[in-house]
Amino acid sequence: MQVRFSHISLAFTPDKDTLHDLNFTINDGELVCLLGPSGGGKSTTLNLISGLLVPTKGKVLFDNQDVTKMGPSERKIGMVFQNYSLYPHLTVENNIAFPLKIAHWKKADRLARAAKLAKLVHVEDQLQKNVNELSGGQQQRVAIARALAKDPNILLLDEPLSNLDARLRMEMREEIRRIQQETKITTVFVTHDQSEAMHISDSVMVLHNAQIQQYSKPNELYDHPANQFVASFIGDNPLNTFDRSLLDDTELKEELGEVYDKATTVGVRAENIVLTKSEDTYQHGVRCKLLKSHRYGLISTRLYSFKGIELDATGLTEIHDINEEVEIYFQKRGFFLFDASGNNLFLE
Amino acid sequence: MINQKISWKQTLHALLYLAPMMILLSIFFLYPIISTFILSVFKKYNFYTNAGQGIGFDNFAYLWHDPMFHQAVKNTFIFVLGVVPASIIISLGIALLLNRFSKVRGFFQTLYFLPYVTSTVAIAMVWTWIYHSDYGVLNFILKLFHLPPVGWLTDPHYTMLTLIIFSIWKNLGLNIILFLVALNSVPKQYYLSASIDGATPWQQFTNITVPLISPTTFLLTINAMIASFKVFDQIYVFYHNTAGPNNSGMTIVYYLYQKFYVENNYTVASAAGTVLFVIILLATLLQNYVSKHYVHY
Repeated sequence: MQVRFSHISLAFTPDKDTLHDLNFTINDGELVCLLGPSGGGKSTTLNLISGLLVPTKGKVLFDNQDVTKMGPSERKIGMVFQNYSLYPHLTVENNIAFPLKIAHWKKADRLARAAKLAKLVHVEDQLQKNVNELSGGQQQRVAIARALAKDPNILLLDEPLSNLDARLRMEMREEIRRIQQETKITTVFVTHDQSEAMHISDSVMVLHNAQIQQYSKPNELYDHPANQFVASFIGDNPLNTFDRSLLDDTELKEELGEVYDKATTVGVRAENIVLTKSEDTYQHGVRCKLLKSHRYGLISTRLYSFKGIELDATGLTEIHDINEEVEIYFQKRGFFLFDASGNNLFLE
Repeated sequence: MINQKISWKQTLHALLYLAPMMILLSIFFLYPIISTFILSVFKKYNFYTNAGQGIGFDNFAYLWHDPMFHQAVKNTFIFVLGVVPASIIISLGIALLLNRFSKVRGFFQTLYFLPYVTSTVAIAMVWTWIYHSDYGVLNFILKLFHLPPVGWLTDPHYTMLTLIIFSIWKNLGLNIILFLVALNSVPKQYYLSASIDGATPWQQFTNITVPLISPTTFLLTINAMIASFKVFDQIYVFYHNTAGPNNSGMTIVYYLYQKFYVENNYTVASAAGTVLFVIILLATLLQNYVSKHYVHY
């Protein structure tokens, strides 16, 4: 089912919009992640899709049908909560079948459906157990099965992996992807973990400051961030940013051309700082001094000083001494110029 | 430490810590209970010398044939069945209402709790006025609905009803408070996820609330049941030191009281106490058994 938001605003208090004029479309059968820091409006957006919240302005459309005024059960959605919200007094089987019991299905029918779903999420050997006896990952699977019980139009997952340990999180995100692809259900997934979002989704919507910062394919976010916020939020290492004026007396300024004058801030990804120039890099570098060097297993990090500011660099393998001055080069794909309102100038 | 075997010395050490409580329990609970059992099988007993003669079940045989005791047992059961389910259901209903209206909650909570912290005797005095056949509020209300006045405290047919109404009202306070605590401890998320599945408020109540507060319901039921089996104070006050008109309010504890203090028949009183003990024990065991299937911890 296709989900469309048309000029949606939501204000909990009259003077401040929690969400402001949201417009987007989630296509049928897609898995979309809502990504952003806490308080960015991710869960609010999810609750607007579910019908738990009603927008102050605008329309929610499911396959072009206006569902703005409908409650969650009328919209036929399935939801998985962060802490799973499984009923502690029911067995796995009865938890999965609970929505069907509410819908007055016959006992034999709902248990058959529960068994089928348990198979889909791989908990078929746990059906008679109490939910408290299950591990976190298994509880997660049961919660997904329950959300799918009534064959919903849309599956909504609210930070479903944040209660799991790192390894299980990786396993479960693949599982969610697999289940989604097997059922072909339109899925919306809320997370604050960008790597989670990048790994499993067809599209990612970055939400911050009550607005959509960018809504595109996962790699687009990394390669062509719409603005400074997205550029610094996406990626495993923090984005190095500094004032444009620091480059004013370098030859790099000339190489960047006209766009340079519109910029106020420069952003460079830590993994795109190199020590040798090539076709991928700008031909002019800047002179820096090495302050610190560390290695953590696979990753080595360095801290360079450039005109009094510090630049993080990762992925460098050439060894040189602390305090030694070297020329560093910026790879074009990880180098951005932002204007005063933070927009990525290379996108225009 | 954890895998160490427990030595005698450690056991002794533990007992030492337990001793103060054990001693108090033994003096005030264990000793009286055992004394009662012993007293109930004496054929003859001298209160002043604390000397018993002859052992047998004469006292129990006496109870078996005493119509007054039959009346007492019957009334006690009527009382328990009348008070326990009704007070649990009514207090759960009020707790659900109060839970909805959080603004007035504190006020009503206090109001309902007052009877619980006030002495039964004092409230029962007030209720003798409420129940008064000529000037009582209750009959005034009946009159408003064009119903004939009832001799609450004088008509033997109404004695048990009078006692039951009063006791339900008196039990409400504690039950409501404990139900409110239980209701608040049910995570809100369960209701949210049930409402997404389209559960009506009634379905949410029966499928989520009832099972999840069942430990509290169980505790309150046992508590109310034991207290109800021991009903005495209100009868004593309502009927001015009698068991109601024509002994219509005779209960096991009142019977015990009458045998012990009025008729000085100590051994029969003890036998009645033993019977009550066994009844409560059996009822509690039965509830425990039932609860295994319906209570979710």
